Amino acid sequence: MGHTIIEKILASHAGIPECNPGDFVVADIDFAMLTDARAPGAMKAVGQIAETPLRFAPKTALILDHYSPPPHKEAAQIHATLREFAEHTGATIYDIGEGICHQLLPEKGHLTCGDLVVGTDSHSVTYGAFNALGMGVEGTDLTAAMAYGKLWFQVPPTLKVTLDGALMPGVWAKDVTLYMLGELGAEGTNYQAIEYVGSAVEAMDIDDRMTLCNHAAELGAKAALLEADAKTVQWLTEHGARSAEPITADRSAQYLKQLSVNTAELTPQLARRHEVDDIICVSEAAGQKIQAALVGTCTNGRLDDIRQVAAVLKGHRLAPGVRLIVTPASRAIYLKAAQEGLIETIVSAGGSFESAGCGTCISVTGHFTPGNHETIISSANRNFKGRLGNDHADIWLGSAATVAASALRGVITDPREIDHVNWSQL
Amino acid sequence: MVLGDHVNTDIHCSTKYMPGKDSAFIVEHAFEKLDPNFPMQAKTLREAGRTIILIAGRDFGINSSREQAAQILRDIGVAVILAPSFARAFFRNAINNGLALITAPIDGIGAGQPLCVDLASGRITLDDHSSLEGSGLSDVLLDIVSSGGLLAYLKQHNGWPTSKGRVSAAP
Repeated sequence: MGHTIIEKILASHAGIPECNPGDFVVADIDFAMLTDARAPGAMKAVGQIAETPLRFAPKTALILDHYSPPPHKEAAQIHATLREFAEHTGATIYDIGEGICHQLLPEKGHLTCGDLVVGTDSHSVTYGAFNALGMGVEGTDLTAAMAYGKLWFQVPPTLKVTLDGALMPGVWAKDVTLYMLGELGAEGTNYQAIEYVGSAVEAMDIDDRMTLCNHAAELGAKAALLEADAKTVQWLTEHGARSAEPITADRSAQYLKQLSVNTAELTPQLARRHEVDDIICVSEAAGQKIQAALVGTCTNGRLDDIRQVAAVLKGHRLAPGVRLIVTPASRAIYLKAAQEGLIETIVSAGGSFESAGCGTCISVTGHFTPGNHETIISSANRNFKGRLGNDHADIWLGSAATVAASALRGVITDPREIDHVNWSQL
Repeated sequence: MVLGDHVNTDIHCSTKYMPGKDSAFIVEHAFEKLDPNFPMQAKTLREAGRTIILIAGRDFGINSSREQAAQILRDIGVAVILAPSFARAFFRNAINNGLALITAPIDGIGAGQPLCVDLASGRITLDDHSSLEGSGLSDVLLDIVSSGGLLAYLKQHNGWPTSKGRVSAAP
């Protein structure tokens, strides 16, 4: 019997010829990641095995991204503890402003095709864009990984989703993944792995593929994996990754279910307030007033996204009474946006930039807290009530293009209506 | 003790939505929004040294990633949780913190009903001698749970005890 990508990655890391859904395996960890948000729990767990050497700490990155920059002394103290921990253990540390964990791990060359990576964040599924298995864990697991280099896993069944059909200009991976949420529901793939294949996936660049895999966390998936192609290998090589040995699914692999989506028919999608799976077409919400707009986060804070914002705003001004914040996913993206002149365009139009990090996605820095009865449109991945620190505000989710078009007009707007942008050139 | 479907454990037994409160406070107030008598009943059982088996509905632990929720359940005195399904992150965190999770039908189990759970086979025997078949814990998970959690287990064995990757096949 053939095997899916996740079955092959887990079997090879467990040192066994094969494994099947439902099996428990103990598998080698290639790389581990700890964010400042989960550092207190991890440090408590480290304390529980204080005498055990953390032999695998050099294969761990500590990322100061949630409290970036620290909004209070407790956060600053967590950062100080992590800097000291890195010095003692040989773990790599990325300090504030360097970027969001899920952007930094691939960007800094820490992972390659076929790797097994764990991180203390649910969006660790993003690494599937590189044909690597990324899974979210907590402090105990992370500590066990740093000490012993292995963790236990249950092999999940795999759902195969074929995305066929060229996306219309102005439609992005974000719209595809929001559509999937509408179809399958939040937690609709709880305890399953997803494999995305098809011509739409092949046509996507790396930025869009990362968005596609990242949002699988909202679907409840244990992992979302893509096969690697020349684009993947080139990107990894350019970013200093170890040489890639792509893992492919066998033709005779057994899937829990197979789904097909005609992506050529998709229009820009939106998640309505409070629920990630309350999905409508952008056109159905046209005219809904907004007060604040965000482009950023590990879902959509990459160069492609910032280019879309600049294309919409070039030579224009934000609608009166609308604030737009852009948070690049990493310092490298921030710099590239500067070099391309995107920052000048966006700031001239009335937008603002925040340092690279997670602060505007969840109310940890308090820099994007809405007022009562305000409506926010965001390129982030979650819109739960109160996520930005105010239960009396609504958060809607859309692509960077939809967010920018809405910020320009002051009402939710289908980006394809913005005549001065040639979406097919972006 | 019995709870319903789709319980987000982060909401009911972590400090995520109760900033500034400590674990001891949460232990005294956990699940009171679902069942006002829960904290007091749990306290009585805990102080009497009884083993608390929690009966929960579908997707127990959904949308919860906080390991603290599992640690607080342990502090409450819960040793075993029976539910038709668990959320992935909660399942990991619970096992890693020494809780035994058995996926099983819970039909007909009432609050306070004495029952016996075979953690390896997953068989639940009720006091009227009827039984329900759940899925038990694989060897390694059972060992982790009996050691009191993942770190205690690894400390005890000075690492993962077997070089063999596969620890158990699907039932």
